[in-house]
Amino acid sequence: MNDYAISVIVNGVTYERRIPPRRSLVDFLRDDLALTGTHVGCEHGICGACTVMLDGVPIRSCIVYAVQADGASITTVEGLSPDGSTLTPLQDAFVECHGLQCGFCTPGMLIAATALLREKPDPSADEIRDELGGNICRCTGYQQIVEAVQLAARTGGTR
Amino acid sequence: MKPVDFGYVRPLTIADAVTALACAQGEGKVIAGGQSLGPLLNMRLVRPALLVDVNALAELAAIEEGELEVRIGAIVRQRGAERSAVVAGRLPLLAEALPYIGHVQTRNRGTVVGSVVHADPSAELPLVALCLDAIVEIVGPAGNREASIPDFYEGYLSTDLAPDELAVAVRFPAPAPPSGIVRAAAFAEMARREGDFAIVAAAAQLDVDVAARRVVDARVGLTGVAGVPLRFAAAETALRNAAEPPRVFASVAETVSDEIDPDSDLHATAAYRRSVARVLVSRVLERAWLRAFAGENGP
Ligand code: FES
Ligand code: FES
Repeated sequence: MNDYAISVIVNGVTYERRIPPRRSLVDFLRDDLALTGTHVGCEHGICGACTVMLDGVPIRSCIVYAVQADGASITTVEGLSPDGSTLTPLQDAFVECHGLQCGFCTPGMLIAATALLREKPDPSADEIRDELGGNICRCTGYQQIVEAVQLAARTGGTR
Repeated sequence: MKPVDFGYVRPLTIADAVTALACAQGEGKVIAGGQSLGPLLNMRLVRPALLVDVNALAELAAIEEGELEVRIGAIVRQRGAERSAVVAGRLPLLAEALPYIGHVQTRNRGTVVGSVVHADPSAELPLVALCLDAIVEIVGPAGNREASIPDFYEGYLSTDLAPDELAVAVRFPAPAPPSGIVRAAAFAEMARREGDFAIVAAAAQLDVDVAARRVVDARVGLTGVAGVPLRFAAAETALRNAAEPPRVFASVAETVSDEIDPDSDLHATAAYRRSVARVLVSRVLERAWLRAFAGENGP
């Protein structure tokens, strides 16, 4: 079927590409733009690994098609740190609290938690669990992730 | 887990959307939030030739408050409705049910109307639409029409919507309760994992005459126990007739669980579903009743 021309801003950079409509947003980010920080797990909206921000709100990029993001602005894990080389306080807190082991779920966790902290700078453990409830982690048991978000809330949120 | 190839259009007017669906000759599918359709496409359970993306139809992005009803347009996100003061104030049952749908990330994208129209028998919003006597506004090649909810649902994932028709809005009747009457609602759900599809979910909305301690209007419904959401007229009558309503909550819940005939599946046996239904119905009745006296609608 016909390719579709799209223009998308990802982490502040405008990209223009031609893509087939069936290409998911996460495949577009990873394969067309080589931004492999966003992970893809289940490919049907269950695990949360592919969470990115679309126009400022976290969504699952495996069940949004890239063509639908035409004209939109996207933030991936690569775009969290303003200068691209240091870590945000949230990322530092994940390191500090052992909020990751294999790291597969981490990009999605970071995007979801960043969105939470923007909205609620001092969330309770319950609020954190509720907000991250759609992000599955096979390694940590979640406790350290909750602690990391709480630590980040104390040390500067998402900047 | 990649969808079969499909064509794509993003019309700017409702008329163009309807024309695109007509041109697809039954092979077109409307996409709004895509939180149900996306997984179905990716798993190749549906293979439409054309996706008609309605996200650019700005006129369908509003929650409109009328005197007697609230109208929710087809691209209003579940998260938007969850945060709407109009929904919180006028549609307490909808406000109660919304947080049970999926997760924040899916509610940021998924729409209220899309969920009502998708007609998943374990989804929350079809149950709310049923309990509130909602009306679906439909535009098709033959013009505009309306479908009322019990008739709109034909069975498992199937409705009276034709392939060339577009659901543009759902209207939820919300007349103000008469003075002295407090409207209160509750929703409860049992799922394998938080945010997962309900094994059983129960909804109740009570209009309570707080001075007389009587129920003047009752809506009681269940989802996850049949191919469509169900309401229970006998239970609603029993609640209206009760001299001291809390005394009949347990027997009403018992009657409801006797009335249903759920299937067994991988997740739950029929007997288990019946028992969960009984517990959840009595729970939502108690909760709604207490809320009426606490003078609060919200959670
Ligand atoms: S890969 Fe998108 S939710 Fe699992
Ligand atoms: S760190 Fe391994 S899945 Fe979360």
